Amino acid sequence: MQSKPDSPKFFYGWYVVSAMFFSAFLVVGVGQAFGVFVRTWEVEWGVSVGQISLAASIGALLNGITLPIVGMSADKWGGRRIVLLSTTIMGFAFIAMAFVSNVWMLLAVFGVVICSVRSGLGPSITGTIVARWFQKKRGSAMSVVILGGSIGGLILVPLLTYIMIEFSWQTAWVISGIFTLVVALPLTWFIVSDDPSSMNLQPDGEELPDDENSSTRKTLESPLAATRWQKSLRTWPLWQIAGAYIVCGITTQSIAVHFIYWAGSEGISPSTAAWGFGLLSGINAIGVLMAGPISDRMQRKNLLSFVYFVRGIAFITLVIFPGSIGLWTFAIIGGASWLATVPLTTALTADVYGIKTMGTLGSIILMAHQLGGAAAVLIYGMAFDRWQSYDVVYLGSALLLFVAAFVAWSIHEKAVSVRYVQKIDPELANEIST
Amino acid sequence: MQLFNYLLHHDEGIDPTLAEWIHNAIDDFFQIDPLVVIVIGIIGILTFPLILLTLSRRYK
Repeated sequence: MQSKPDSPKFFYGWYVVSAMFFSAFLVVGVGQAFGVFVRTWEVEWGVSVGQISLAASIGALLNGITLPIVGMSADKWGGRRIVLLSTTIMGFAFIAMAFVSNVWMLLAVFGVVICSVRSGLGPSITGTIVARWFQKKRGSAMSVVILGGSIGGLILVPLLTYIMIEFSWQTAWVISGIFTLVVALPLTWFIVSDDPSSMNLQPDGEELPDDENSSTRKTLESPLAATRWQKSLRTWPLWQIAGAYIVCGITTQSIAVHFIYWAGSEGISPSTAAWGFGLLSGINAIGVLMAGPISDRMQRKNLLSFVYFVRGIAFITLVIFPGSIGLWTFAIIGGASWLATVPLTTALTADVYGIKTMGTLGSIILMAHQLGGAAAVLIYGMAFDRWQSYDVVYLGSALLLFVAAFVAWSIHEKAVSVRYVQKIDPELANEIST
Repeated sequence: MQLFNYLLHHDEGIDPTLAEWIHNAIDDFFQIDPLVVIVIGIIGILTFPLILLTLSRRYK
């Protein structure tokens, strides 16, 4: 047990958050660069783009399936161990990617290993650590961690593209692996701790009252907190949060896959569409960074509802405004609401269900997001083949987003969140759940 | 199988023209040897964790 400095100027929890920011920066950024290598592999291995993409598709499916298992492991052994193990495997897997020479090896290394292990560095796992370090500023802390992934994509995709063209794709993967093992791993090892109590600290860096000794925990119990995650499945807020988050998955993943196709159908060039998506990503980073701190000052569900509503408006602009006007309008309005849902949803889940089952419940909610996204990719493709237009699915998505906004808004946050009520009568909890 | 084909849209490759454009844009911006560009990029990324590690050790 280490002693706390007499007058810490900076709460140690922000170091923990910063270390996880960097891990997200590296892992998400390198993961998003997969597309950079596809054309090169196509030529070098003499295979089709479809065969290469199949490895990624299987990986996306595995990622969704493994989420609850990883979440349960985090609840049992602590988020830090899962993050450390995932970072280690990820680092070696990145280096192994340099030795891949056919689609089967790609499927094994990227599809199976990297995509499965990626679950261990997702928001549902990092959220278990953040939720222990922060209560009042939980949203702000989650925003910083999620921002790491957003900035990672913006910086590492161009950098790895440059390295690939200048040297080779193998060099890009080896550098990524070395960075993960030599920088991200020690950073997590030396800085990240599961619980502030291990450093004799309180959540948010609050001081212990003089009459309390060091073993007294000030962590507050959430009203619907349960020691078994199965109990939470019988409560409404979980389904409200997950239901809205499915719509988030539907609308973000379908756009990520079909945006360039939509632009082509509107007569917009791929490079202009890429610029549009780049603008969306940039504004998304600002939106992510602002969402958490704002939600720490109001009911999170209201901001979450507003974000879904704004995204619904963004989808309508794609139908109303033709061509490039729609592209830029969507990039600005949609970007502001893009991943802002992630810190809000993670923080709200922790507020309502506590930290004991946070890994499992957060992962179940995230799995709903992933599976919803995978289904939407299929539906968008089928719809375009049938109508030669995305208008129907865009309007459908807008409608779903307005429903999600209502569902999020209908959460009785003041009755179930630890921010407003610390204890609740079991009968009242039962009423809320039914 | 038709359903299966839609999944193949996942992780489509980056447009080669766009990749080349990114490369040229970085070259035009720095106007120095590519190896130096990469070293600058790596050092830039390394700065953050090094500062973080140093400050966190001082805190403890």
